[in-house]
Amino acid sequence: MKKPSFTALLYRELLLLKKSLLIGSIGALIFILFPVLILLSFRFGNLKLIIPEEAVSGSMTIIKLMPVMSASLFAMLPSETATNDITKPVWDYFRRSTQASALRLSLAKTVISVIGIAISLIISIPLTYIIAYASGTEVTGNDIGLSLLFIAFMSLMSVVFGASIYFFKSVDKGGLVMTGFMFAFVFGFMAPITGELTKMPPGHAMRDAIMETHLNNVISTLAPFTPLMLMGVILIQFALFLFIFKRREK
Amino acid sequence: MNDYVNAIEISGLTKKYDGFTLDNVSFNVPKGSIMGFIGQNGAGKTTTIRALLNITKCDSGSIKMLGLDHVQNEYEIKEHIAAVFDEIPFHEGFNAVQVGKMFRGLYSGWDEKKYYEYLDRFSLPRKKKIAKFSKGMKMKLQISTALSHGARLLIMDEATTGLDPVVRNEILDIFREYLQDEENSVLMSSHITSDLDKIADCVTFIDKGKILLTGYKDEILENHGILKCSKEDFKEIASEDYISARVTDFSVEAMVSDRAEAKRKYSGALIEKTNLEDIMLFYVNREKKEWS
Repeated sequence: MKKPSFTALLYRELLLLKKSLLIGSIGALIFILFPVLILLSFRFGNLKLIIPEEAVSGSMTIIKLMPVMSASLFAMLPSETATNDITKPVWDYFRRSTQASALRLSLAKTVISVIGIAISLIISIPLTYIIAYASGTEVTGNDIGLSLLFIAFMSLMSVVFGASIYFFKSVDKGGLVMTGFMFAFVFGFMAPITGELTKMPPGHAMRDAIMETHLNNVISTLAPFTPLMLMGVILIQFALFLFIFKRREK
Repeated sequence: MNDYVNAIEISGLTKKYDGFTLDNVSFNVPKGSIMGFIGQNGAGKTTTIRALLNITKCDSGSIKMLGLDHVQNEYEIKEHIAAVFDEIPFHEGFNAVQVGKMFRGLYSGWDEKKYYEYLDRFSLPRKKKIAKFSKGMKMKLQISTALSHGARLLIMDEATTGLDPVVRNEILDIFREYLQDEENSVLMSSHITSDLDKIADCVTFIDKGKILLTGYKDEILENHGILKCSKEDFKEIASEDYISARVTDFSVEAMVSDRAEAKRKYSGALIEKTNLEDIMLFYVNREKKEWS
C-alpha cells in the first residue's frame, strides 16, 4: 500500500507560505531601504547637519537592528501557516480522513520551519553588510552573532505563538502570550543594567555606551549557543506538531 | 480489500460529553447502498461521523469500515474512503489545479483524468482561487476530489446544506452514477430530508444521541403513516399506538409506526402515507406526545 507522498504535504505547505514570503520580502526591502537612507543621511546628508553626533549613536543601534529584525521575521512565517491549520478545524477533520500520518505532517511543517530559518539566516548576512557599509562601520563578529540570536529568538517566539493559539484556541490569546514572553525577555535583558541607567539623566551620552556594552556582552555570551538553540527550537516545534496532530478529540 | 457485507458497521458506540451523550449507537450501511443519516441539529450526526473517522475517541463500542477495524486498520481504510464536509477544507488561496497536485500525492489511486473530467462537467475553473468560488462550486470541487481516487465509501457530513436545489440535484445525480458500481457505498448525514427521500436506500434516524429508527427507507415509509382524525375521535386512540400527535383547533394528525395494524384497529380512520420529514418531526416530539 503506497503511503501519501511527503512531497505532496510539503507542496501544500509551500503553497500556504507563498503569500507570506512575498509580503515578507517586500517588508524586508522596506526595512533595509529606510535605515540605509537614514544612515547615509546621518553620514553625508541633512541629518548630519541638524543632529549632533553624540545623539546619533543610540539611535544608530536601533537603526542597525531593523534589517536584522526583518530578516528574522522569515523564521516566524511558518508559524503563520501552521496557525492557519490550527484555527481551521475542517482541514484537521479532512486530513484525518486521509492517510496522511501525524508523523509525515509534522515533518512537512518542520521542514518548512527550517526553510524559514534558513531564509532568515541567508538574508541577514547581506543585510548586515549593507547596513555596515551605510553606517561606515565594519561588520564584526557581534553583528553576525546578533543576527543569529534574533533569528533564534524569533523562531522560539513562533513556537510560543503557535502553541498558545492551539492550547487557548484563540489567535488573540496566542498573541497576548507571545507579547508576554517578549516583555519577559526584554526585562530579563535590561535587568542587569537598570540600576546603572536610572542613575543617569535621559539623553546622557554614557547611557548609549552602557547599553551597547551590555548588548555586546550578551551577544558574546549567547552567540556560541545559537546553533544549539536553533536545533532545540526545531526539535520542540516538531514534537509540538506531532503532539497536536496525533491528539484525538476527547 | 477483503470481502464484506456492510460498508460500515457500528455497534454500541457510546461517547459522553458534558450535556450530551451518544448513547449506544448501532447501525449498518449495507455495501452498495446510500444510507441517509437524519437528525436535527445537535442530534449526534457529526459526532458519529467523527467517531467513524477516528477524529474522536469513543468511550465504548466497535466500528468496522469496509470490513476492517476502524482503529487497527485505520490507514488501510483511509486509502479507500473519502469524506466531504459542509465547509471546504482546502485553503482558499489554492486553485483546482493545485488541489489536484496535492491529491496526486495523497492517494495512490488518484485518477487525474477523472478529476479534470469532473471539473469540466461541473464547469469549475481550473486556475481561479477557491476564495472566489461560490458555495456550490466549493462543494463540487470537494466532490470532484472525493470521487477521483477510487474511494469505495463516501462519507458526507451535511455536505448539501446551504446549496440551492439545482446544485443539490446535480450532486444527487453524481451519487446515483457512483452507486452504479455496487462496490461503492455512501453515508450521507443531512437534515434536508427531501434529498434523502429522493436518493437514500436506507435511513437511520438519530435524536438526542440515540438511534430511533434504522432500516430500508421504503420499508420505514411503508410502515409509518399519519392518522388523521377529529379531536373527538382522537380520544379513542390509545397512546401506545402512536408516536406523537400534532393537535390543531379542529383536527389531529398522529404518526403511527405500524400502518397496517393501525388500519386494522382504527378501521374508520384516514391513514395517509408519510415522508421522512414528517417522521423526523413526529419522532422529535415523541416525548411531548401531543404538540401543535
